[in-house]
Parts: sequence; structure tokens; C-alpha cells
Amino acid sequence: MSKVIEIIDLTLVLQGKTILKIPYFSLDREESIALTGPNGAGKSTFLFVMAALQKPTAGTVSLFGKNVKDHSLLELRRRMAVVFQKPMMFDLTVMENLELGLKYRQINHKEKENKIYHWLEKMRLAHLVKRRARSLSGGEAQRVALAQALILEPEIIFLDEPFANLDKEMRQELIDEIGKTLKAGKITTVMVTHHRMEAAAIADSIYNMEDGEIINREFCN
Amino acid sequence: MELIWDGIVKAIIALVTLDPGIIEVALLTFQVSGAATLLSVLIGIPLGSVLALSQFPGRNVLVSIANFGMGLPPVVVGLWVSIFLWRSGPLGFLNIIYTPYAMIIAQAVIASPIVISLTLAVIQQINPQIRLQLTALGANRTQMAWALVKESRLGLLAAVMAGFGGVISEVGASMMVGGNIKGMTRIFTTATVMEVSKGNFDVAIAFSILLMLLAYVVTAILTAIQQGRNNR
Ligand SMILES: Nc1ncnc2c1ncn2[C@@H]1O[C@H](COP(=O)(O)OP(=O)(O)OP(=O)(O)O)[C@@H](O)[C@H]1O
Ligand SMILES: [Mg+2]
Repeated sequence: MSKVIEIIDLTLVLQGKTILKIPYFSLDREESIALTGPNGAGKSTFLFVMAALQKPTAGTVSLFGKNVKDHSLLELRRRMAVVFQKPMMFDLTVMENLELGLKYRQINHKEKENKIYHWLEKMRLAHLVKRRARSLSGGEAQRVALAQALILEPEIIFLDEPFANLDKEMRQELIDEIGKTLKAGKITTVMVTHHRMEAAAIADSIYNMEDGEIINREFCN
Repeated sequence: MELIWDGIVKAIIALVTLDPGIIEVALLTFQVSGAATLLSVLIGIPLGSVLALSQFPGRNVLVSIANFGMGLPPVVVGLWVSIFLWRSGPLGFLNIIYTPYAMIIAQAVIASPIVISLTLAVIQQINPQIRLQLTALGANRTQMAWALVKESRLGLLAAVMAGFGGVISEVGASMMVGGNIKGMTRIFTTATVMEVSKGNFDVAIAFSILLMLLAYVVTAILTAIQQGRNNR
């Protein structure tokens, strides 16, 4: 299988502190992994490095077989999507928030609408289309952020504690739904989570991080 | 006290009777300051955004120049624009000194730094998470800038109002490059100064009231746009 992410000898130093130290890491196409570890272990930062949102201090990051140093970041980023740990809603309607990434990819109007309604339905957001996104509850905003990423049909998706703000029922429902979607769409997935149950539902294996390093890997069955 | 009363009455009469001389002055005041504000927005919002979003050597110098420019004395602007537009000056061939075009240019020079500086501040204080998220969504530079402008429209409209406020109230520059020619370059501020110098305080008061009214109406419309958008 082809590697969609490959990282060699990565270090990241921010403000004099070593935040990440990863000698080798790779991810195959269609593979799904979870990242776990205590607060401050470097999970979110590692996600940013993989998503080409954070430049490493040293080492190579290759995405889709291309070294990010000598490739158009924009083009690479448009093949991926990120759900942030603290997703921000833009000061627009829910509809317009979902539209953004599609607009940047020049998706035509008809197709855009179809996708938006499809995902509104899937994320139980249909009743909120016209709402100002800033007025949403934490859980609603979280679902908009998920829809905003999935709607782009990325080859790789990065999810940073995507179910953290959801109540138990909604969480279970969405884990099932999103798990299926990711499998069906053959989307390579990296998910940060503190919950083994979530990890097991979505990931093939779990990487444990501590102090900026990967300390072990467990396989789920 | 009587003077003020006379001024108020004159202003009301001018409004009610639509005094053609005064309507002409009002219209020109609005056109010149409106065009200058528009020009400063077209210059200031893109420039301010670029300054806010990029890092290059000399950036801080440019930012401090823009910030300093907010306090440019209109008389100084008037003088320098006159020198450039003077018949023998570098832009003399344009032949626009003592026309409304010269006033628009001078006022735009006054308003642009205001719009640049405030745009810069407004865009820079947007939560960095918003920028990160736009990057992750695949926005290119232009798309990013546009999204941030939309995101900060409240603050940007305030910048536009500040720019408009700066030019509708100035007199020094317009006097010097326009010349306060009746029916041609006379606006409320230059007319007020002239009436005061002639000792016609009641007329001057009437002009000042009409000027404030005009400034208020324009600002109220911009405020309605600003707040209306926000309350939806
Ligand atoms: N820009 C930065 N400058 C300095 N230190 C930073 C910066 N960004 C992150 N860090 C530090 O890097 C470490 C890892 O942060 P990160 O957000 O990746 O942790 P995390 O594993 O996602 O934690 P959590 O479970 O709390 O989300 C933390 O100690 C954090 O303070
Ligand atoms: Mg984190």
C-alpha cells in the first residue's frame, strides 16, 4: 500500500522547548489511527505538522509521496481536512460556514448545495441551516465543524477530539455514522482522543504519545 | 443666544425651502467627502489587510508611517497636494487645482492612513485560530484576505466611518486645493470659515448645523448597515 504520510527525523522546537521528536512515522492510504496521551503530550501539534499547518524545525514531512518543503502547500492542503480541538465558527450562517471549503475548491453551485444538504442531514443540523453559526451550542458547533471537514471528501482527515462536546447519545450516534462514512469513503484518518471506546470504533491502531514522543502502538481488533 | 437662534432658524428655512445655493453646497460636500472616503477604502482596506497578514523587512516602518498618517494636519496635506497639482508642479498637466477633483485627492490623502491603520488593527486582532482554520480549509491568499475582511466587517465599517468623519470635518486642505469658489468648490466647512471671517455668524451657524446633520445622516446609514448585519 502507498504511504500518504511519511515523517523522518522530525523535531519541532517552539520557544526553546522541544515539543515533538519523532524519528519515524508513516501512515498508509485508508489506514485509520488514533493518537492518545496526556494533556500537553503534543497530539494537537503533531496533527498540525501532519496537516502541513505547522513547519517542523528539522526533518522531512512527505504527504502523498511529496516532500512538503518543495511542493505547493495549498494543493496538498486541499486534499485534506481538519477538525480542530476548539473549532471556531465564522461569523456567518451555518450554511455559509459549510460552503467555505467548497467555494475554495471551485465546486459548482448545484453540487455544492447537494453536498451541504446531505451533510446537514447526516450531522443532524438541518434545522440550523440559517442560524448565525456563532450562536450555536458547543455540540452543535462541533457537528458543523465535522460537516465542514467531511463535506470536502478529503483523502486524509485529521480529527482533534471531535466528539468532546457531544452528549452521550449524540456521541454514540455520530461515532457510528462517521465511522461508517470514513470507511465507505476510504478516508485515511488520524484522530486524537482520550477515549478508548472512540479509538476502537474508528482506528485500526492507537499511538500513545508522551512528552512529544510516540511511546508505543497498540492494534485494535 | 440670539445668534444661535438665528442660525438654527436659517438652517431650518434652508432645509424646508430647499435653498438651491445651500443644496448645491450640501451636495458638493457629500460628493467630495463620499468620493474621497470611497477612494480611501479602495486603497486602505487592501493595503491594511496586506500589512496585517504579511511579514517582510520594513513592514513595521510602514505600519508606523500609516499610524502617524492618521494625525496628518489637513493644512500640511493641502500644501503638499497644492504643490503637486500646481500648474508648474509635477502633476500640473492634470489641470485640476481649484476643482472638486483636487479636493477629493487631498481628502483621500487624509482618510487613507486612517482606513489603513484601523483596517490593520481590526484584521490583526482576529483570533489566529480563524486564520489557521481558513488555511486548513484550503484558502489561498486572496480567499483568506476576503474571508478575514468579511469576518471583521463590524470593525471595518467603523474604519470607514472614521475616514469619512476625518474628511467631512476638515477645512484646511479643501480650502487650499479647492479655493472655496462659489458654485464650484465651496463646501460646508470652507463656507463656514468664510462666513465667520465676514462676520456673518448666523449664516456660519446655519452651515455648521447643516454640516453636522449631513455627517450624522451618512454615519447613521453606515451604522445601520453595521449593526443590522450583526443582529440577524
Ligand atoms: N506555539 C507554541 N509555543 C510554545 N509552546 C507551545 C506552542 N504550541 C504548543 N505548545 C506546547 O506544546 C505542548 C504540546 O501541546 P499540544 O497542544 O500539542 O498538546 P496536546 O497533546 O494536544 O494536549 P491536550 O490533550 O491538552 O489537547 C504543550 O506543552 C504546549 O504548551
Ligand atoms: Mg490537543
